Amino acid sequence: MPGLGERRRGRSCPRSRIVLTWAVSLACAAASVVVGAMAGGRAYVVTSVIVVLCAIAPFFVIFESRRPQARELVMLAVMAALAVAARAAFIWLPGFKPMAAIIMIAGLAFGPSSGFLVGSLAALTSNFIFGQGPWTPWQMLAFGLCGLVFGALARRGIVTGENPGVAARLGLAAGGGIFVVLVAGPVLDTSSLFFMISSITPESVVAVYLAGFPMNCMQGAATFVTLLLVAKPLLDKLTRMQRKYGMLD
Amino acid sequence: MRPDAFSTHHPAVTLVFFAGVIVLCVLVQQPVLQAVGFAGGAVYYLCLRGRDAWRLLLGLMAAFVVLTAINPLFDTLGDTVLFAYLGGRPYTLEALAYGASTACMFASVMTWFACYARVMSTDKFTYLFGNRAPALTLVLTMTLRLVPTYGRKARQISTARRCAGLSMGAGSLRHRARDGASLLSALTTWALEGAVTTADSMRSRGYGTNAGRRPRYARYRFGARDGLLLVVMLACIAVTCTALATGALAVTYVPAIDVPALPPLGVAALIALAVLVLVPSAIDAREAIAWRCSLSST
Repeated sequence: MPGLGERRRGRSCPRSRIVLTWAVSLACAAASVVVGAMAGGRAYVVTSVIVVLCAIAPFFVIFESRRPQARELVMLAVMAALAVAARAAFIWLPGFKPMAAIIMIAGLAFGPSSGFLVGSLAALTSNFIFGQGPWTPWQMLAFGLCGLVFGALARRGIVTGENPGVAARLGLAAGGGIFVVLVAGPVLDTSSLFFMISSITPESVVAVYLAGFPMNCMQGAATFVTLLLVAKPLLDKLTRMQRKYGMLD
Repeated sequence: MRPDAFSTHHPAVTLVFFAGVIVLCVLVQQPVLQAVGFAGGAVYYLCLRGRDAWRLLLGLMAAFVVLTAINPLFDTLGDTVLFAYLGGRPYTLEALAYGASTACMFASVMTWFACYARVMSTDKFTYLFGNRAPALTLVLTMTLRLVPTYGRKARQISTARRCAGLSMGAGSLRHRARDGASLLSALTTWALEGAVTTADSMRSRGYGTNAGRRPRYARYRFGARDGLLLVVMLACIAVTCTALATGALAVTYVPAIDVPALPPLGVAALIALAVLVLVPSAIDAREAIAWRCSLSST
């Protein structure tokens, strides 16, 4: 049984501080857009990276200023590591990547901002292993969004109930697959648009997203299958942990 | 392989170097400077990887050709039409040249990121951010450690299941997906129990108490040579940025190619960029020479 002291979670971040953090980051993004537009040339590529970083940074800053407790830190690390390592469980299905599905489950269990952190940390870690590149910030954003959106859906009671029926489970899995195909995948493809394509015209935009479409569909299918098979057992385990040890609600 | 001498510098110097070089490689559009940026990265990557470097470099050269050739398909601006296709859609020289410029940027960025991955190890990264973001850095460190641990555990579970007569990785896709899911489920249970043990252990060792700042393991020291190198790098970056901002490196590709001769400031920027990108290779070369001399004098 954990001591009572453990139930005292890290300080929660005051609302004014959250608003200030987002305002600063929005101002930075706006400033970089203005400077990029004035500089011309290929400065917009740098601007795009700065804007993406401005979208990610507030989550990290707010988390850090909350001075989180040990349990919260460890749970985030465990979920991010599971998301990266889950691939090893599906070694017999080449190219099958369950990462997005695990992040969505983490979001469902822990809520939007922890979900975002799990997603972006998982993306960062997998890039430490498979090689960093100009796509790293976009990956952090795309996978972070998976956790954020599903965390927000769970908060509103849209996706999970105590005992989801077959229809609800199918709906969750389909929602996850569609989210990867329509949102997370295209966010990733945007990095190719900025770093590989010279002239951003309607034709080149269509070409980049169409080129990424088959890959995104494969990822979406993997997310669908993973969510269908493991969402229920994993969520049960996470809920049980939260009940048993009283953390991360 | 001989250790890379540039890697022994302070992580802050390394980070400033890579950030500066990669941003400059994106911003510069002057063909000569772009070529210098890529060449510097390629030389350093060769220093780091030896013969293995060619796999990436040749791949990037192929990507360069493809990315150059496809740009005129998307962009029809330009005065010099090379040929027309699909009933008169022009394929222009100018769009081709601009495609080459972007493809060169892509190749340089990829090469420098490949060097970055070799030089900036995870311990340096966590060292740099450990002070500013202790909680996040700790999470990152734990994640990096847990990934291989979970990989090993997954293999153990799969062996155990096979010994128990459960199929692993055989049969239809449906079967294999189901096996994977059971394995993942078992792995999760084990990981979550471990998480609680770890967290309790951290707490009993005083994590999160208000007993002042936690000290951290500092492996790197910012010495005089790091300061010198940082000043040289920042000076080079400043000169190139000034040239960029004042338009000394301005070129146009579309609608007509116009690459004016470099003004004095442009030449200075060229020299500065060349010095900057060759710094790591030069440090490696100096170290190699010193090593040779020390061998022959004994």
